[in-house]
Amino acid sequence: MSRATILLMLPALLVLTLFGVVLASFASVSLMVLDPGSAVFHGPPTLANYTRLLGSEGAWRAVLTTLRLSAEITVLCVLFGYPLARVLARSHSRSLRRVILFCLVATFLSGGVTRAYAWLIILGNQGLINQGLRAVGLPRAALINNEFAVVVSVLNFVLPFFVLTLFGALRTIPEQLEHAARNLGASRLRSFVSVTLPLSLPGLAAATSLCFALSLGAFLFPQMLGGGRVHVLATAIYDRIQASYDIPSAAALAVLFFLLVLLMLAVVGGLRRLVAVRFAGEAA
Amino acid sequence: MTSSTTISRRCLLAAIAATAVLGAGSNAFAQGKQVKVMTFGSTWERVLKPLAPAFKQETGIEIVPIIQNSSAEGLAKLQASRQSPGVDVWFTGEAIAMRAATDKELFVPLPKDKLPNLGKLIPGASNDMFVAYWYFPTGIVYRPDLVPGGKVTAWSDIFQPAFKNAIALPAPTVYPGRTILIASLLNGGSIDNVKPGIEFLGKMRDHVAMFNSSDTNARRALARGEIMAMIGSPSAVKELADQNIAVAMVSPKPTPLIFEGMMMVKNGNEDAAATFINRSLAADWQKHMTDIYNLGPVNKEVAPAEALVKVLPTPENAVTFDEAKINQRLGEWTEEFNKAIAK
Repeated sequence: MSRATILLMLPALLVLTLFGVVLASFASVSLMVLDPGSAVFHGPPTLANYTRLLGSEGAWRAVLTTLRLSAEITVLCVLFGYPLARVLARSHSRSLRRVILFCLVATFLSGGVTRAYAWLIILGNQGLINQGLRAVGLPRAALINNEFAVVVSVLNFVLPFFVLTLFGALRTIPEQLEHAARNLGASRLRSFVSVTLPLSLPGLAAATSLCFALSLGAFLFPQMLGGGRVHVLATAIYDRIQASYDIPSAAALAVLFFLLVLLMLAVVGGLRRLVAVRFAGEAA
Repeated sequence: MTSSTTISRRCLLAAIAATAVLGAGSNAFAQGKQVKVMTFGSTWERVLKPLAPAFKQETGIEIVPIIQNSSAEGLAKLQASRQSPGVDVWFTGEAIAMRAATDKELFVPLPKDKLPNLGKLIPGASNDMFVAYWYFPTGIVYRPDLVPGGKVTAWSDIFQPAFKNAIALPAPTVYPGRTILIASLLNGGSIDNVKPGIEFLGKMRDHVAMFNSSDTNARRALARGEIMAMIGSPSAVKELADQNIAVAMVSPKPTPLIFEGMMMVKNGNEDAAATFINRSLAADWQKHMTDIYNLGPVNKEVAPAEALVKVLPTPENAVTFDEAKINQRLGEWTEEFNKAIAK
């Protein structure tokens, strides 16, 4: 490895080292113990926090809720995001592409809290949707302070990431391949199913793994729109600090959360490689 | 010509050096004449900021605010930078103050000899490490224009079918454990037996619109008419009334009273911190606080604001709890509560 390469790698190595130090300090705190009712935690190192968490019904419920909601959001991302990314990549209308891009970028630029309040106004009992329902004589729908509100708001947060990632992948698929399929007699649907979709699978896998990872870490939207009923891992960590100031236990939950994310990303990464080998001819 | 240029360069360098030395000196002086107060955004904006200029004029000490979102967050930050906390006075609730007081390396006992105003406080407003700035009841804040009959008189009212999906109860982390404790007392339980309260809240989970994780969320929902009533403090009444929203408050039996106040951080600036704390307890500052914030003054020479008097609980309706027990058990209660709500 040349000196220039090492010098170029230096900033990345420094950032990685910083991440490593933060994780290591978290892990070391997770091995400490808090005296009940106090604010001081101490050693000697013990796995007591992990033992307690693994036996905690609340922690497991938070894990399962997090995984289930992340999976639901990812599926919805594919359903809504794929057509949007395809229109963005293939539409000949410059204005349409601009409108879609503007909406996506505007979503990126608006802060999380702003978006959460916007959803409160839209989904609330006196919100725009319920006002519309009342106007046509329909009963009020419970759209807020539940999982529905959390799924919708997190979807709104992750969809731009999904669409823009997939858009990049779709742009690399030559349009001529679809034209060739159509010339050979394939219908639009057949051309999409047999040509575009398989070639876009590696990009789709990348976009879904990003979307899944972002959903796993959601905190603000479950906290603001879940009405105290939606307990995901991030809110469970927060609760441990707010309720009992049990920072070692919160750190242990954070470490378990990190390991879970690594495991999920490894699984998704494996699937991605399989897809890449099968449909894009990449070396395993 | 050359000589004069050299002289002027020397002069310039000397001037820069002198400025730097003087600057450093004046910074050090200014540093000594500051008191860094870690507090909540609304407390700074509404209570302390208007008093800061007069305090500086009177004592020469500038109040520097450091805003925290919650006491737990503030404590975590202080502990993480304990070698040099950069904070002299920390605002918190009494429960977390008792927890924090166990960190002897971070907090110092109140220097009672430098706080003559301690003698003017109502009973229970201070201990060796913590002194309250205010107290408040956590009762029912409601919209008379939305509730049936225009009035709420008892806790049982808000659990009637007419209030379904129209009330907000604080999650256990807000007003530490008070929702669970009120529900427990109403259902035959106590601080030592909160099971009846948690079971009741579990049964009522579909009746409650939200278990709010912050007072602000519930207050905004009440302002928008999303809910008819919430558990809150007189401060919420004042804030909503200032927005021309018609709200009322009732403090039925049992209404918990909560103290919130200050602790002194070991930051090498204890004299300025003591001056600030003592001034906070003086009658004129307490009067300003109760008028602006609508919370109870701890200085017994000061009458509560007129709007507050109407909503304070009668002595037989007011309850206080053992904060040490709450500290020890809140984590366990929260877990049980979350389980009951998730069922």
